Amino acid sequence: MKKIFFLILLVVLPISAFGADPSEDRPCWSFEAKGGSFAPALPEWRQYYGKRSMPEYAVSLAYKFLRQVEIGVEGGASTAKGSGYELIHSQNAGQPVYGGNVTYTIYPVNVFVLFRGIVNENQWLVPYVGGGFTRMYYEEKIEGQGTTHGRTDGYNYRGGLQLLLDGMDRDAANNLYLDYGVYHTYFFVEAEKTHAVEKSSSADLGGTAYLMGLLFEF
Amino acid sequence: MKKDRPLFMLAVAVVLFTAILPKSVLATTRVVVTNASQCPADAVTNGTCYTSLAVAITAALAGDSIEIKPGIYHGNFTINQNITQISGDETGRTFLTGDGAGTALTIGSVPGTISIRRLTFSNAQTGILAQNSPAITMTNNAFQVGSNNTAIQLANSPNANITNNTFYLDANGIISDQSTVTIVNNIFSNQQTTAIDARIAVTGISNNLFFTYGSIGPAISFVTTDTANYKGNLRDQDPKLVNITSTDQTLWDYHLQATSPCIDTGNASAGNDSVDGSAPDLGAYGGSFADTIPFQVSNVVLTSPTTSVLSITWNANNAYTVAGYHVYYGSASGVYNGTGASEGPSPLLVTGATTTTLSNLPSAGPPSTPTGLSVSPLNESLAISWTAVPGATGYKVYYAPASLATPTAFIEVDGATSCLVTNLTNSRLYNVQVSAISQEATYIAVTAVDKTGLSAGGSTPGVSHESAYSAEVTAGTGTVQESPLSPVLQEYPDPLIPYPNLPTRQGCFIATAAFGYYSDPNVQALRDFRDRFLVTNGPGRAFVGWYYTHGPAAAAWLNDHPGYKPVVRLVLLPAVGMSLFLTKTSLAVKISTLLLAACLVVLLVQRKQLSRQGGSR
Repeated sequence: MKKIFFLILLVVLPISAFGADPSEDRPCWSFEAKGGSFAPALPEWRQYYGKRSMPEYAVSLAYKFLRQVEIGVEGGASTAKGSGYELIHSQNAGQPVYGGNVTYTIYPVNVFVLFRGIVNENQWLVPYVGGGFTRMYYEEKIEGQGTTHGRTDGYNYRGGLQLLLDGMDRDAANNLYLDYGVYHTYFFVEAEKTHAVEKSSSADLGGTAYLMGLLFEF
Repeated sequence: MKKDRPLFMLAVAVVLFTAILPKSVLATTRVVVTNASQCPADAVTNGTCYTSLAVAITAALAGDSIEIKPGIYHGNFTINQNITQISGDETGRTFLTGDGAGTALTIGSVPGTISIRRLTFSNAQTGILAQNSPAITMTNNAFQVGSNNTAIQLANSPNANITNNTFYLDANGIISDQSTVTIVNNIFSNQQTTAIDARIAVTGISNNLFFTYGSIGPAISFVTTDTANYKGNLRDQDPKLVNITSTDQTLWDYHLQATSPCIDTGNASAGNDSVDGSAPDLGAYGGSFADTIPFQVSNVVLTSPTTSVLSITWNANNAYTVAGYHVYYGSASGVYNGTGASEGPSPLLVTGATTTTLSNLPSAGPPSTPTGLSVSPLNESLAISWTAVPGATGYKVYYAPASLATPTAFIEVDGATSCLVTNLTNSRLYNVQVSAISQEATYIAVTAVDKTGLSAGGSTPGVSHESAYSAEVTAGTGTVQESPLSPVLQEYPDPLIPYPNLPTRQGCFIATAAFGYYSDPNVQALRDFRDRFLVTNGPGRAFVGWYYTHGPAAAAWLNDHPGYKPVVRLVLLPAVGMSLFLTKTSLAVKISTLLLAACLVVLLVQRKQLSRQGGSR
């Protein structure tokens, strides 16, 4: 059901492009910095790392073909410290015996297309959906055994809301434009789902991220 | 009240006068250091401490003086204002060096009196250049600027007074275009070209020593019977300086040795020696303005230290003024308040020798048994930690296979409360115990003390009549005490499997190397076989442990010789097939396959028997 809703949004949102003002002096680029929580899709994650999620930070740069359509690239990082399981102890006990220290880090790199529901340049609330390709780099530092690292590929999709901040402080917005060429500043919240299955272990390194941050259009 | 009025008015007048007084009249001493930690407290409070000599000179006003703490100050410095004095605390440890270029110190058009004291000028084209400065005094300095360079050049600066300086290995000692220069009690040694400019009048030159020179310059009379012209100047006598040949300038020591002809032979106009009150010596350490701090003692060594006796030796300080040494000791670094040695409390006085012993130093009591021992298994190793024991200087971690009654090996750990025992066998049970050890440490430093310092006047290290502390040496003393062992903890090493168990791009095992990458289905088949059939039983785990030990090396060899990979793949294929059969097929398929194989074997045997019977027929 969720996927159907998401597909409908993907189709409907670009239509708003045709209802929008013809492009004048409009910003083409956007940069965003965001942070939040990433809940891995790995089913036993909590047993090993003690929490359901780990912090994630990311930045992205996107180009807008239209005010409603943009493509971009995004890089992030997320790390957690936890335990591994002791192979022989676990076999002897007949259940997992956790121990040692493992530092697990992923660096998702996403290439995405985003569709924004914007019809007016001063629209204060802008919904958006998008998705794209994911390359997930990973690294595991295992106490006493060194580090493994590699990468796998997958896909991502996301949706969120952008809140235009310009109206809150017109002077600050004008100064941002005059000093740095920033046309608009948005605060946004976003939910992002990633799938990236490492084939040999069948482990899905993706998960669900809930992020917030600031977006600057220039 | 009326009676007090004049007094009150006077006080007001004094305050107002002080307020309107020009700053130049309120003279300030500006202190220069190489490290801000050397700043005296009052200079910090007054904001008159500087880590740059150039900045201090710029900040100085007429009437101020500049005091330079020991250190090496690089560059070319110029004084253009009427500073009254620029001086070091210790001649031999305060360097103004030009780094091979320019003039180390230029005095430019200073009309008033300016005194330059207790500095060493090194490695500069000119040590001091005085221009248009008619009242300059230079005392207790050393000049070792280089064999092509000039120590002092006076340009239109008559009436300069150059007293009690040491010149060594310069091209020229003193060059002047004026004749009226006073040159008294100086040592000129190894002047490559000229000791004194010939234009300087002989009348002002007295009680100097000239040794190894290109020429002296003025026509000085060295004939002692020539009462009209002889003025106490000496020549061709080695001044016997302590050390001026070292390549390290911080080791240059211009003090006089006991056999020096410069001792007590100076002109009385310089005042008696500050170090011992006798008639002035020649050179940088003679007269009443010389510093009274002997050179630091070097090369302090503990020879053959044992737990009960420390033997200490050091290099002699050959200055004739040094009368003995103080040996300081204590149980903490820099705190020399020891009292326990049989030889006496700190400091011990040593005269006539450069060695001493400290014996029967107190021992530390035994530490308590470590608690909180924990052992964590890791791959072929055990991570061990425990709670710190007060007073312990180290720990011993004993470990041995559990089959052995007593620990066979131990690791010594200094200070830390954890360690990693490596090169163990996975799945083998080990006993682990920890003990704490302690030993008293003794910290030692040596100083040189001069004659005055040994008299009732006393001395203070690095301040007066006693050198600064030598570099500190330390050793453990007294019996090494060891606590009882902690209770035994047992554990066996174990590979740690991370979650998720992801492959690395660099293959580390034979199959990965042979098939090219970790996620190859053949490699995955072998991994599945390992997880289902090997690590689930003792012999299998032993094989896995062995493989973990030797596999990476074999894989590395295979990666270095890729031509063998097809062969290894061929060898591994039956194992891969068997693994796939055992891990991927159902029980029914396995039984069916086994039955089929059994039938085939039976058929083959029967067929062979029939053919044999047919042959006999």
